[in-house]
Formats: sequence, C-alpha cells, structure tokens
Amino acid sequence: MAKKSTKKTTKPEELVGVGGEVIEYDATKPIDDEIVEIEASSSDPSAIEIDKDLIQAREALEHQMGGFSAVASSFEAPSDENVADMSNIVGWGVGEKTVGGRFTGDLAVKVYVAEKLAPSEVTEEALVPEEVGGYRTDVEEVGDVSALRFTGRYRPAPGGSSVGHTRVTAGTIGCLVIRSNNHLCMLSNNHVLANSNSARIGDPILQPGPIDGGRDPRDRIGTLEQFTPLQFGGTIPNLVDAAVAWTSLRLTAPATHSYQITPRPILATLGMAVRKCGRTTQPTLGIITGVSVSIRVNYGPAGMALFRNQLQVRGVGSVFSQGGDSGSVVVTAGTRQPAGLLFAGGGDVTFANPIGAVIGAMGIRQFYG
Amino acid sequence: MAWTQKQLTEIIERNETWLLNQTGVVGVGVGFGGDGNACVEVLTDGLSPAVHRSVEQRFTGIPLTFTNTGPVKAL
Repeated sequence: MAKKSTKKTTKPEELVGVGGEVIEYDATKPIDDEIVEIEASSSDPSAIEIDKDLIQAREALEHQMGGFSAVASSFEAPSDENVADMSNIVGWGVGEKTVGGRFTGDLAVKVYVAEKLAPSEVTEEALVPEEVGGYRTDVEEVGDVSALRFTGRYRPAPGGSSVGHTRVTAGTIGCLVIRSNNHLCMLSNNHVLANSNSARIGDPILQPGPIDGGRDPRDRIGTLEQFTPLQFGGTIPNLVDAAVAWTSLRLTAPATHSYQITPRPILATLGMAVRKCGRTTQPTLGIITGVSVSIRVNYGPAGMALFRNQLQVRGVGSVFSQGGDSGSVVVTAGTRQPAGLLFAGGGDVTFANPIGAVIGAMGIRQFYG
Repeated sequence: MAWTQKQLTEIIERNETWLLNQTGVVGVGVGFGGDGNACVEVLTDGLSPAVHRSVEQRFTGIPLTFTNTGPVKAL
C-alpha cells in the first residue's frame, strides 16, 4: 500500500478557531507527479511561438473549405456520392504535424476529421490541399467530438464530477466536508465510494470513476475514510447510504461544476425547491415532493435495502437524476444549502437521505463551501 | 380538514410494516395530494387492483395517493 503523508492548512479563514486546523490528504509523491496542471502563461519558456502567418493560413483554409456553414449544410443535404463529404470535417486548427502517429516537430495547419480517408474517398470540397499559404497541412482523425460531460478528469475535481471506488462503475462527488477529526473529505454514497460495504478503509478512490476511464493509481483523488454499512435483506432499516473519502483542495474543489455550495445545512421540507449537480444529468432543478419516506431499494447483487425517513424529489422540466448521479448533494435551489444526499431512483422519482442523518453518520463538523 | 405532516407521519409509522409487505408496494411517505395538501403517498411497482383496494380500505378517511415508481434502484 502506498505510503501517505499529511499536510495542514488553515483555509478558509473562517475555519480557523472553529475546530482546529484542517488536515488534507496528501497522495504519494509519485502519484502527485503524474498530475499535470496546465496554466496559460505567456512567459513559459517551453511554449512554442506560433507565426501569425500560420494562423492566417489556418483561417484561409477554413474559409476556402466553406467553414462550419459548409459542414452544417452537408449534414442537412448529404452527398449522393458514395464518398465522405464536409460532414466528415470536425474542425480546423494549428498544431504539430504527425506522421504514423508520431509528432514530426513541424507546425502545420490541421484539419480534424471524424474518419481519415484516402483522397479518392472524399468529395472535392472536402479534400484538404497539401499546402496552404506556404504551410503544410495535416489531416488528423479525432472521431466524433461531443461535449465533455462531468465524466472527464478534473484537477481539482468540482462537485458533480465522476468518482468511484476501483471496483464500482461511477457515481458523483457531492461536496467537500470537514469531519470531526479535521480531515477534509469528499462526501458521496457508500455504494459509490465503498462498493456497497465491500471496500476497506484506505482503499483508493478514483476520479473519474472506472467506467469513465479512471485507473489506479493514475487517477487517485483520495482514500476511503469512513462509510456507514448498508443493511441488506429489507428488514433492518437504513437511514443513509453515505461514505466519505479523504482528499485535498489540490485534488477536489469546494464548488460544483455549476454553483458554489453554501456551507449551512438545512432541514428539507415538503415543497422545497432544490437543485443538484451530478455526473450524468449535470445540474437539474426539482421539488421535494415527499418526506418521511420508507422505501425498498435494489442494490443489484448486494440485495435489497430498506430505508426510512428519506426525501423524495421530482424534477422540474426534466428528470432530477439518472444512474451515475448517486452521491450528488441536493441543495436548496436559491441559497444552495445542503438538504440531502441523492442515492436512489425509480421512474421519474429520486430519493435522498436527509442531510441531518448524513451529518451524524459521517461525523461532519462543517461543510466546505 | 388538512392533515398535518406529523399526523400523517405517525399514521405511516403505524402502517409501514403492513404496507411494505403488500405485493407491489415499494415505499410510502408523506407527499402531495391532488389538492396540494399533504397526504400519504404509496409508491408502487405494478400494484394489483386487489391490493390497491386493500390499501384504500386500510386508509379510509385519510388522504391517500398512489405513485407508480417501478423498481427503485441505487443510482
């Protein structure tokens, strides 16, 4: 098992004097070295200066090929010929020319395509010239490009990002909390961070979760610190599906992808407007439509679990959650105060643990907003 | 008369075991009725008409609504 060390910090200011210094997780040095943080800097000595003429050549090629309006037109009216048309073009840019997958060191005008084909397999308008403005061109296959969901790798990872134990698929980072032992932890579900009771304290937690490409040790974001064991069988009631993993501000961010959380938990009430930010459905709005709910929840191979005193949420304008959103913190829509911990759903209804029960179970001293 | 959340919670607590043993009932809680007031909300997964009637009889006089959630799963 990797050797760990700790470091102490006193951020944010208001925490000083409340309950001592916050202790952050500090991953092993080799793992730290693998995290590359990219910062834009004009004075970076390793930065490659790009000739203005090259930028102009790239713009000229995009214009010459008709730009994105030509791409859009080809989607509306596909070519009759059995060849690829402009719909195969994904974008234009400037970058290092590659040959056989290797970088050549020479800058070129890049044309990104969904599929790289022989010149005889594309229409004339979609054919990329060998040169433009005295610069060589390079066609690079990138496949279909879609908007990055919250399944990507982030450092620091905001609430709402994909996360998981090494043996689960993926869930969501709810938010950051400070426990009674002063450890800075991320909050999520037992079935996300502790593999429905099967994990051991100290197990690595990955961001993104394994189904989103997270691999150990490359993507470690913390270690499992505590979980409330789930009672399966459907007779002994559960109050929470909760777990926390020790982490640091360098690895996990206090805000979600969409909003800051106000670190003042609130009792959820019937009719309360709420929102959440989750790995799959991202930010959604909802209404607390049920309280004091007793519900039987299917955990797949682990079995059925009975929960008491839960919250029920219905989405406004869309479903409130889907698979992978587990671990999201349900906050009040206006003030973003934690009210629940999302963990289950059926039909268009979502269920969450009341935040008070989660605070007690996880020994949370304070939410970190 | 409008029932309070506390009254309904107490009713649910007294009947929870019986309700959750009914085939097709997956949960129960305090929810919203059609009139916007609090009521007992029974969550179901393919509830049969016979069980539906049985639940209605047991909760006679108490505001009641049924919601078919299907199976509830950990997300």
